Amino acid sequence: MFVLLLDIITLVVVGFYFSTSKREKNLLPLILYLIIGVLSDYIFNPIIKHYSNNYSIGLRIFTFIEFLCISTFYYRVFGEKSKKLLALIVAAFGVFSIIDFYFSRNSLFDSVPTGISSLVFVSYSIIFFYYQLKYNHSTLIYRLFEFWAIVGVFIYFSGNFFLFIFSQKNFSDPLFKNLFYAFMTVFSIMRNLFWLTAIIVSKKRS
Amino acid sequence: MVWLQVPGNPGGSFPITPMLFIGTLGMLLLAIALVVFIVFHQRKILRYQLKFQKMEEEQQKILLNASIRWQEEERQRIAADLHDDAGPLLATARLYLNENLLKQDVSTQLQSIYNAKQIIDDTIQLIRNISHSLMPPTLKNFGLESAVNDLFQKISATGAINASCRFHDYRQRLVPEQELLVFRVVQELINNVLKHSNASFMHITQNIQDGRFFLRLHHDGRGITQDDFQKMNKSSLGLGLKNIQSRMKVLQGNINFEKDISQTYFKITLDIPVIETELVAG
Repeated sequence: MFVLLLDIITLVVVGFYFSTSKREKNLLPLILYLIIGVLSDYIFNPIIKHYSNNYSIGLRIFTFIEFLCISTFYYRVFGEKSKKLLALIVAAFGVFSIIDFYFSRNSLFDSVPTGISSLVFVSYSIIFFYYQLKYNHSTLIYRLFEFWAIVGVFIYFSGNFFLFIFSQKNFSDPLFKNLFYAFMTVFSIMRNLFWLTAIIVSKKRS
Repeated sequence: MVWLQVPGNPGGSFPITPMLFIGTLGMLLLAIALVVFIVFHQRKILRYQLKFQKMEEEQQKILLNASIRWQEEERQRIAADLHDDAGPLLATARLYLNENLLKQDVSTQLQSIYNAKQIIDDTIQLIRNISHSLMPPTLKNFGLESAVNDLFQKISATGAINASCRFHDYRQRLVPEQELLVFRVVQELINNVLKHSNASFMHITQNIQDGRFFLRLHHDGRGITQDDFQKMNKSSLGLGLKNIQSRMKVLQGNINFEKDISQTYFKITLDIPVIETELVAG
């Protein structure tokens, strides 16, 4: 039921974003990430599972796409100065993911890349909050759509961090798997609600 | 990489460890606490900023009002000087030079012309004094050092106070606008010393250091400290001090009122950035 609720909220977020012509371009990477997430759950992963015993490849590709989309969002928030550094981090993450896949191709979950991506996005979020406190002396922080989007990312990745690092060795256990999906769904719903708030705030501003 | 992988249970069934719940709950609570802290802290900062801005605006209003009041008082003083002094003098001179003078004998005519000339000379001197007080020609032609020296000599000549001044390094003059503002500040400070302090001596020194122009006025009378100066600027009192503050703001300089360490005299320091320099000939 929670999974159904998550899917409905995801569709509402995506639909609401595209519903008017005044779309905030900086939120587009996050919306694309949501669309790719839904497609990978219902289309890509079943196809991969059908043709290969090891469907963790789908998870790993999705992890990299997730890292790329959310990094693109952060690049748009931080501005041109961060372009080279973020591009370098994305490239390094890509290389690392490939190396990790080579060494742990049989594992059912990519704990290490997802753990690292959680730490990276939590760090980006803290940097954003720091710069807002230091330099933003004119607008209340909760009137910025970026704030709501980043709170969504922050809570999603900090809540799921322990889940990700436990998953690689325990994913075969059905009890753990249920727990995993329960936690994941709850945090995904929270993340999507914050992103919906970001879209509403951006529309109000425009 | 290894530390990120938590080992599973080799027995098969996963025990629901408290670590997962505590870790997740802990991270979630920390994240929420951080976000709430940031929101409330930033609101506090913005409120403080707004309050500070309002206080600055209030202060600007007070300074502006003081400046306008001072200008009006100055105009009234000039008008009074012209009306009460120059006007009657010229009217008296006119009385001496009327058509009836032609009917008088030569000696009476000469006496009337002499009296009229005397009155006109006095009037010229009066108008010259008014003009000099508005814009001293010494300042324009010879610079701040000469104008301040001149002023101090006139004060000393009255015998009321021992006034001296020494410029250590004024080869490079300030720009004319700065010189005028500094001179007005010095005039105001000297007026205050003469009116309120009961001082027996007053001394000005000047020097330039690291691109900044320093002027220090010492006196041995009753003075004020920096706290007193700031309090008076916030109140409706101290029109002259408010004008000093306005001028210092225009100069982008600082003024500091303090009692000397030896506790025997008061010191007022003006500190102004040197914008342009003009080499004084010789």
